[in-house]
Amino acid sequence: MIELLNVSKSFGPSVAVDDISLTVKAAELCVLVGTSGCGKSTTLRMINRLIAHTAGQIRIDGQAIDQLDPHTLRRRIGYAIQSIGLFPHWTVARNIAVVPRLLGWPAPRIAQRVDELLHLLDLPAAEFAGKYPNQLSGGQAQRVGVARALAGDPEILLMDEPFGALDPITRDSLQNELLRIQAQLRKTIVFVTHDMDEALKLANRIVVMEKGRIVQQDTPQALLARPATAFVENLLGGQERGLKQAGLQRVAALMQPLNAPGLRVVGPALKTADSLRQALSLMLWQRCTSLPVVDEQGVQVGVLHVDSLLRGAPQ
Amino acid sequence: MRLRPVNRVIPVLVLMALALLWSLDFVSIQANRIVPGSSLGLVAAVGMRWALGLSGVLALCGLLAAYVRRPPYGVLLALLCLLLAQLPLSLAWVGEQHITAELAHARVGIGAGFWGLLFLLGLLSIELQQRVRLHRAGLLGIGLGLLLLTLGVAHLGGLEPLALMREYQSRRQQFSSALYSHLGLVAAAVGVSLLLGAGLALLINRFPAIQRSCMGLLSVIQTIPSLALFGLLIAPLSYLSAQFPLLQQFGVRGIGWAPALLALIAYSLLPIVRNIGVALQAVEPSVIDAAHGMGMSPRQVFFQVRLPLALPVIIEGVRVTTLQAIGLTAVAALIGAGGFGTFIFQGLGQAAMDLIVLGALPILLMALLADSLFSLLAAHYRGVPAP
Repeated sequence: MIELLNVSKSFGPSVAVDDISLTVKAAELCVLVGTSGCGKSTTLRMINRLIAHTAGQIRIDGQAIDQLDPHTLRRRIGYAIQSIGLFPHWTVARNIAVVPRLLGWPAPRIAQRVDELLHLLDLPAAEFAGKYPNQLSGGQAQRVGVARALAGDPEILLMDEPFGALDPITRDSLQNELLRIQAQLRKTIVFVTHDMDEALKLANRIVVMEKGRIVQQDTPQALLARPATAFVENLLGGQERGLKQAGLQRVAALMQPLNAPGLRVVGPALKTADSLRQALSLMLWQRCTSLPVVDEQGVQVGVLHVDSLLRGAPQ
Repeated sequence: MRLRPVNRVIPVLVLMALALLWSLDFVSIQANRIVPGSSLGLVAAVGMRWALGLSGVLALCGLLAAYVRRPPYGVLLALLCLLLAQLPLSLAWVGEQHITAELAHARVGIGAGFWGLLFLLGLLSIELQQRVRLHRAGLLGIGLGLLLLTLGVAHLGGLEPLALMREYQSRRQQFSSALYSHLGLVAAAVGVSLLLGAGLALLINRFPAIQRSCMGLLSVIQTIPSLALFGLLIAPLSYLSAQFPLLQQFGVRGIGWAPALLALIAYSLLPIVRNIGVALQAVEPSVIDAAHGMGMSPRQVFFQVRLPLALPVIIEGVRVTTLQAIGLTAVAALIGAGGFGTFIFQGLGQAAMDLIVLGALPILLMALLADSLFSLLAAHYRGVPAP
């Protein structure tokens, strides 16, 4: 658990972070979102003491961080950043092994951990362990960055716009990867981004920051339903809010299940895990008011009507 | 047969080599050191068979490169090695043919045709190195092999009649002492300025305010002509050694190695400090940030991340400095610092070309050797394969 109590940071006369209080519960994925210069990165970097806070208190599991040795503290916290920051003179395996080596693990345990993480991030060890960072694509490098952050098996993961420099398709697949890993490992994650869609997709809780202050913090659903200020509403995309909200819900929640076992569907169909936004898009494209819903094997399990979409409840 | 040549560089070099070989003097024969020599063309020097064989191999190289669809660059490299290897042998052959027992003091001077051929074969080897994608170490190996072959032929007495060798024979002692003092001065200058430069660069890194004045001062020193700086140091050093007898015991005087070393260090500092400074600054900030974020101590960040990433550029600086020092040490001979410059200035005074070459050739070889060794080292530490 991470607690920030009335924390401020000023650089000389300018105040970057202004009296914020925030609690990130264990196993929560908390996303700090805001425009550039709003203090979200500074907030993140204060948690592992890369930046010293000037007022207030930051606690990790009840212990104030200024009472800990900064290097020991950082080795306990995973850290992944936008430009990746992989060490170009080391192989992928050596890069991932940085924190375990700093922690003084024995060599066999490090080797095993590196293999484990390469496997977890879908980077076959035989192919990738010996590669150098400049031989990787952007997406592969970012996977290594995430693997490196996880290497010391930290409770807490800090991620500073880790997917910011990637193309939309790679970013999307890495976001899914992060959700999958999080479901498996249940770390406490603080994630910084300026992309509200990314925040809505990943977060258990979204913290919106503006000019060094927290404007609103809530679940994605609640934030969409009740934006506190015009700034938050603007960040949420104004008129496209409806679509964004639809993007958070799955087809499975609103479909009409079949009573009898269904048949294989040929032609346009939705999957249970698709979002309502995708369902609406497909209906617009096919110019129809209902679509069959199929499972992983392509066998029909239900029907989705446009009426259910509009009412927000199954028919 | 295609009319457009596949590779244009090699045939052009070959044509130039053939033209030089057949039009310029290959060697000249002098009865003794004083009288002007008589020039010999290629055929007169080595005989028709050798001349035709040499020209034939050259022409073969040109044709293979120009008119084979995918030129066999490996074969061409082997032919090049053959051509290079025959160079010292041809000189030995000339001696065998032309220097008879009754001409005991006669000497063979190397002519423009020979030097031209050597130069063009050098260019050819660079072209071939790129085509074959030969590692730099391979080129260095060929060069060292050629050097060893030449030394071997010389050791067996094959090059005895060469004017160059005759000059060397009468100066064996001076030659080895020149070698040691030249190498010693260069090594000391580069070593000391590396230590001083590293300290200075770290100081500038810590206190950026002094950067402008430091770099300004070093740049000003760089603009002083070397001869003037050597001269300027004579007065203060003779004063010091007159004041402190202890210094005199160590050999510190107004002339000799002391002013030379000081001047060399002063010249070496700028490239060293600049390269170390630039190298340490140029490390990607996000990499440094990540290193701190992983929990490395400042020491670990410096020794595990910043220094290894800066090392290739630092070695590059040492390479430039070493080459500069090798050249400047030749000038330092004028203030009595020894080294191969001594032969050059003696040769200039006596209008003895061979003596000048005896001084210049080792300097050239040292520079080439230092250049390729440091380049290899930098490439090794760069280490990361291309994407």
